Amino acid sequence: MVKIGLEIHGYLNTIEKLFCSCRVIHGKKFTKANVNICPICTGQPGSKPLLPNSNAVKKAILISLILGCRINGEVVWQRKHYSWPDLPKGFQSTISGPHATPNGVDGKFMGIGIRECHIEEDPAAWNPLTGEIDYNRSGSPLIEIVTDPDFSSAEEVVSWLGNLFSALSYVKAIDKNSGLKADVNISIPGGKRVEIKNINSLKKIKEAIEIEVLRQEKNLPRVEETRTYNEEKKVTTLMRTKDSAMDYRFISEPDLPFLKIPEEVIKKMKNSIPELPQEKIKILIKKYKIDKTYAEILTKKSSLVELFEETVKHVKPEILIPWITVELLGVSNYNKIDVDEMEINPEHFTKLLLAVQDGKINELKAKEILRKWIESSSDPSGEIDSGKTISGAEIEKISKEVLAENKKAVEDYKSGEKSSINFLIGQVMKKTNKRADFNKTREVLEKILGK
Amino acid sequence: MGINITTTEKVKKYLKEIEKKNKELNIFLEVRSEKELLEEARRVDDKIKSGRSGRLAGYVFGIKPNINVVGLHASCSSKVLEDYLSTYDATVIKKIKDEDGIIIGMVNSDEFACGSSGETSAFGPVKNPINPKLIPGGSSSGSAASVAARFCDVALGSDTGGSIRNPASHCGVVGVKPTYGTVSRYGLIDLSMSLDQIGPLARNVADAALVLDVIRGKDENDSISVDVQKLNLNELGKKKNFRVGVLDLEIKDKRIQKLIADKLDEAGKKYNWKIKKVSIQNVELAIETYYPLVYTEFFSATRKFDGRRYGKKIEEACGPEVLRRIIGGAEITKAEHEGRNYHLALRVKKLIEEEYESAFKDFDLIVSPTVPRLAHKIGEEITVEEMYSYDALTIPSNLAGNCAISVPVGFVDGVPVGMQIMADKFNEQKMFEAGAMIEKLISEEGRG
Repeated sequence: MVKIGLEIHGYLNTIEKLFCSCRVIHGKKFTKANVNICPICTGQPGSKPLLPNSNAVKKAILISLILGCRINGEVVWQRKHYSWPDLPKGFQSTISGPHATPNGVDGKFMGIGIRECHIEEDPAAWNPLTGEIDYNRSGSPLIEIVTDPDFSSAEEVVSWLGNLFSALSYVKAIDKNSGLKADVNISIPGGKRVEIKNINSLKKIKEAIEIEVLRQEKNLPRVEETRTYNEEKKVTTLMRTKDSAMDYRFISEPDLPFLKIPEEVIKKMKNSIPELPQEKIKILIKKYKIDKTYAEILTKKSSLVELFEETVKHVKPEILIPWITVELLGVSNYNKIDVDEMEINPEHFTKLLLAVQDGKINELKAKEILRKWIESSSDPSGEIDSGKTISGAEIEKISKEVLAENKKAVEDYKSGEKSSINFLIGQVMKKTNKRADFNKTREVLEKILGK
Repeated sequence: MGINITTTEKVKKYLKEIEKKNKELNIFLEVRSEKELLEEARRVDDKIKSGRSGRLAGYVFGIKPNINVVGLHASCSSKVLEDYLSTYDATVIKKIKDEDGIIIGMVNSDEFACGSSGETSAFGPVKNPINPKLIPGGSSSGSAASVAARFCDVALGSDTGGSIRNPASHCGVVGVKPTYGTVSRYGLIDLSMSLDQIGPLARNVADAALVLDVIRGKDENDSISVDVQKLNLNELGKKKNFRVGVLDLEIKDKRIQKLIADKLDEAGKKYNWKIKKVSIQNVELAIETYYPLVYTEFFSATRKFDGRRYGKKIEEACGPEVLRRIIGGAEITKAEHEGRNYHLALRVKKLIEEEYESAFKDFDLIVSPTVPRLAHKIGEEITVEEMYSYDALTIPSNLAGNCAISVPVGFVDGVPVGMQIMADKFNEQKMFEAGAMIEKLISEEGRG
């Protein structure tokens, strides 16, 4: 059987970098090159690290706890030396290596053993084609999660990673906008272990594993080696064999004191962890009698499940579920904004859905209100009042006006082009500011026009 | 000092001296423009007149070139960094500027502070102003020499194993190695991070104490730094009773040992000090413990000089002593050694630290010669072991993390000799009080 293990790198969700107070904002999409920098994160001669960002340390511990790890309260920073254009100090500050006590060890998450979890700093971004280096990224806090080689297929890896990220979104520990990176190690029976470095999406991870397994089956690896995945050519290529393995010459960091995290703090953090997706699914199904499919969608995001649990106190689940899983997620997809980043106040959401449930406004009007809630919701009371569904008599009156104004469409209808009624319904909606009930309007129009 | 002479006049006087003698003595690597310096001096004089001046108004500083001063070259006396212009001020520099001190320029030193003689500079050896044929000691060679040559009032150096006290001793000036962690290292280009401390060199104890009082204190930019109390400078020179331990160690040069013993004896009689021998078992391990630490940490610290950012790759552009330490550090840190040597050295460092702590329960001060040898002639071939032995008596204070001062007490063969007065961690007050008393004793003798 194939044995697969992972080393996953994710950006910890912090405001400042690990050893300086520069903002963690990087990537072409968000900022110009080399603006969030200082003597510390550019490794100027003589600069020294500030004490490590305590939020980063806390989040690393939180992640370790979620992954069922034993926590090391003593944080001893290490210098991992290597020479590369993106590494301004000539070493990376990390809590890994032979003399380190990683933040968390010996965990298990959804059937997969976790060897260790530790923080380290990100290097700068180097463009080998132009030689340019952007230090905005340099010194950002990363978490590295190392699993045991417990996976046996690409599908298993991808589905586990999905669960991992949804669990981590519950504690808002990882910044997903900044992406993930993984090193994947693969060995097949009788062969040596091969590591594929630096794959940066779920899709590529899946492809790389499948391609590498096929390659190894044809050509059994005799020595341990490190390879890289070429996405365009769909092949993995050799970087180095174990004989030329790097010696990082680890030493403990003399510029930082030993940090000790008190037992009580760790205990407190442990108690603060919310129920994670797998437990949550069971609770939702049992308590609200909803479908497993919906329970799974709701639990993918902590914000969704929180919104559901608050709103369901007032709104029936059968009304509520499509409004979250279809409409709200629709708004999130359309605007390309992570639903976790949308601030939807459960009170606002409840008011909106109660108005629908009680027939105060129609669904069209409700959707119109919801679509404005891109970054955050607002109190819908005013819009609900001004958007109240209007009476049948009023619909009839307005329908007559519309028919008089649109003679062409009326003729079309009468000459057999029945679809032109949709245009007429649209005109009524427009005139009533979407306050007319859709089905009622069709009924009225059909009645007047005569079937 | 500075009573009858304005800062402007003084800067002019120093610039003239430098102009006249720097070529021969090779002390300053870079002197700021006269125009800029005089404008700054005038501003300070205006402040003095209006009574709004800082504590260092009127003081002119030379700075070791491993300390960042924005706009000046922190070359570390090396070809590697000869074109490196500092982009920021070290914390100590910021503090000096805030108190109206004037930085006149950057002095020469041993390359990357690796050396005890001032001969390893890529820009030629520094000469001893007392006798230009002799080495000035090192590695803060130019810092000591600039003060001795009257090119400035005070200088900053860095001391990792004696690099301030050793040249202070050879040049006949005062040099202070503060308690580890009390002066921010932010902006100091590393030699050995667990041992490095910035400290002052001056022509008298009071000036050294004043400068140290200004530059020390906790700095969030140096995570290892700690807070300290203000020094009481008014107590300097007053008579105090001290329990003094004389380091029980035979050195080869009996003339140096005798000079120190005699002066201490006189002080004991004059000031009523209780003097007893003290033996520190592990002092013999100092050099063997020191070099693995320095090699390892220096190797790590120099990885950033890879030729990609600041000019030249260090292994290709440095001198033999720097290269020796890098290669040594690369060997010690190899994975196959599993960190044994470095961690063993850290453990012995801890032992030495504890031994001194326990000795300071019985003594206020521990006294010895600063350097066990006299300065040799520039260019004279000596072995690496001989060179390293210059620091045998200064290294222990770096390993123990305590404070020590070198005060000039006389001459042997026409070469200045310093007395080292060591005090427990954070006991700079006692150290300066004793230093000022010795200084007074020597100056009164001179007059008598």
